[in-house]
Amino acid sequence: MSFREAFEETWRTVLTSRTLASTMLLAVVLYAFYYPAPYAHEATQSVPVLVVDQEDSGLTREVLRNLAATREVRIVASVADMPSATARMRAGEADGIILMSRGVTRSLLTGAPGGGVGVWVKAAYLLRASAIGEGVSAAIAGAAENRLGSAARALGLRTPVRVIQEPLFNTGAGYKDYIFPAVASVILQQTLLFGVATFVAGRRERGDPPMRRAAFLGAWAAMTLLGVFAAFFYFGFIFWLQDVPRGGNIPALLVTVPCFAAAVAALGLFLGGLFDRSERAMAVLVPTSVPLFFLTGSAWPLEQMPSWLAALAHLAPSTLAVHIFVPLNQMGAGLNDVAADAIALAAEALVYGALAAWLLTRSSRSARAA
Amino acid sequence: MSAFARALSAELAHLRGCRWDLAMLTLMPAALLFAMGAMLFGGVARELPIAVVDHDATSASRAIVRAVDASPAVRIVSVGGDLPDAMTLVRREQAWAIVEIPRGVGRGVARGTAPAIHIRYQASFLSTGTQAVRGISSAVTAASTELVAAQLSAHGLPPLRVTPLTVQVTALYNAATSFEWYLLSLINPAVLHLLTACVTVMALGRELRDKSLSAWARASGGVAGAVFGKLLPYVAAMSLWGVAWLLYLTLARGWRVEGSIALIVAGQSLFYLGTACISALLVAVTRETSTGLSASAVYAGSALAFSGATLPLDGGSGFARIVSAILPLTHYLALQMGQFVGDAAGSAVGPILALLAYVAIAGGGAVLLIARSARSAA
Repeated sequence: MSFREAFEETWRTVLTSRTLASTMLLAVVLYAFYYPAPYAHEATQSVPVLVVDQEDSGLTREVLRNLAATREVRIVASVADMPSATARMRAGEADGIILMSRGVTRSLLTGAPGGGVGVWVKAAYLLRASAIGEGVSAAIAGAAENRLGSAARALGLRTPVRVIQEPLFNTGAGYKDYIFPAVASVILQQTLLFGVATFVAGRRERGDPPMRRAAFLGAWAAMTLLGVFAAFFYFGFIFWLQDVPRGGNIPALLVTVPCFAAAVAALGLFLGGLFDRSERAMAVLVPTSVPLFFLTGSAWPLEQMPSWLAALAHLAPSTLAVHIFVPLNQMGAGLNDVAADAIALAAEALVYGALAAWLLTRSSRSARAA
Repeated sequence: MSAFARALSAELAHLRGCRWDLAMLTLMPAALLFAMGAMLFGGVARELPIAVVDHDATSASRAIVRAVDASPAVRIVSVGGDLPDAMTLVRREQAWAIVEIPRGVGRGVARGTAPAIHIRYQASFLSTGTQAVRGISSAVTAASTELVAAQLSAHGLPPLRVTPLTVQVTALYNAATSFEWYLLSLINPAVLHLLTACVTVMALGRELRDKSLSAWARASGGVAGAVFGKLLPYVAAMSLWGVAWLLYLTLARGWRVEGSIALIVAGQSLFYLGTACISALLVAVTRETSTGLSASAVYAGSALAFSGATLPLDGGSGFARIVSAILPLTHYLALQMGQFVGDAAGSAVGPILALLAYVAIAGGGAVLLIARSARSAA
């Protein structure tokens, strides 16, 4: 089979096989809408908290009003004392307790010790806990500035030193804008990998003869092109539709996307050649999806992982892809900013391609020799 | 021998003979759980690289830089006077944040202007960027407070308290705010869930003949018994891995479960049984292993995102909340996290009933469908 015949044959198989078309085409479209859905509201909102206001003064009521107005928390109830607040938190009613102790106003105005604000959060859910902390700090800072304002203005000072936090690239510090661009690389890898491995494992299950080199290259090119289409569908259309931050470095993408698709397609050809049945491909590869996402370093940075694990993580094209495509698509990076990872990805394409070629064409040479 | 016992022993015999299927119950979970455990072994991020842009370059700004450098969360990899250079470091992922100190930070207070220290952080990798910014901002606030106090007294002004209120935040049940306890609690059940879904689809899918389970069902001698006997080895293996993971977290890593471990272990087995029942229903309905696997990849592969355990779904769309309520992982995590933090045992009743519903509805539905196809084919 010539290169061109194999290329066309591969495309025909993908388009006519229900299994392949649904994994490689339909699933790609489905994930583009399904995966961002739980992150569409972008930020932690309305974490339930209980309030114990021992002082019940103008200041504490102002703090509570501010708190009720914040996006992060939702005041479930005002409770009379700490024991009942603790009991209600333990019953699962709230994720945190905010205590305004008696003497909080006096402490604020005179600096006398004894009054303060106590916050207890269930830190097992880390993201909720930090949302409560942020909500409370903002509410108190606002109220305190109001109260202290006159004294400070008399001295010609407002806020002595301001510290301004500014999220870069994902300027709303949104959750979807953070997760979806990263997970997109994992989705693109896994859907292509499942399809290619299923395709090759199916050949082996049917007892198809080993591939000639031209046929192998044709199949690899066809699968790579599919991966390129899927990637540009995400980076061009879906990122715009989902309105995630877009840096739009198209020339750099034209270089790196084919490397990524070729590396994934080659890995799929190689792994598929190891499986005994076509279903085995998905059964083995699907469970790796969740760990592979975390191994990209998007939630916990690669540099904080043990170095041997970070090195292994880089064997998955998705890990390199996240650190190439997120900078190119979201941060406005140039090709030189991601050069090291891009070269590594190209090298992976070559190595996996060579391994797959060896595995899939191997017995054709031995058959000819015999 | 009952249909249950026959199916169970047939499945065990198959597992002894099939290296692939056996590996999916042994090597695969071992490798995945080990990788995730190793990944989060550090737990709290230390020495995250950051850059400093110091436009002031006075003793005051250097005091701030020293304070930031002393924070265990971050490590300064570059101090310069140029913001674009620092931005390049962030784009290249060589720095997670930039502290920009304005000119005149040392004089601003006494002159009545309010100099602003900017902390710009990597928000495309929000989780790590946020950790860096927390470490920096507490150091900067503390340092600038001291700075202000020193300046005021140097100018003969009365001292002004700039941090007038103490806000004492106590992180319950995870005092170190460790990512190990937080993320491993969520990742590993999600991994075992997805594994269970795949291996059980494969187990039942193996019995499909000409897109039908009826031949297998007729030979089984009792569909309900045969389905549960077949699924039992997988549910048992995943439950044992779940127990091993709990033992690792508590005994080896020293995390404390405040509530009932027994409830978590029971809930976990029920969760994997429910997952196996969903797989049985998927195979019975789609009558194709590959479609069952695709469906598992979609629903179980993204279940963690929909569980509300990372980003809460309060404020989320109706669609996301409905999907979340339908997925079993949501209910299992509610049970597990509640027991981790010592919620009252009563709060586990709802999740347990929800998990039982998967066994009853999906398991019952699968048995009915398979039995019906066996009868109609006969």
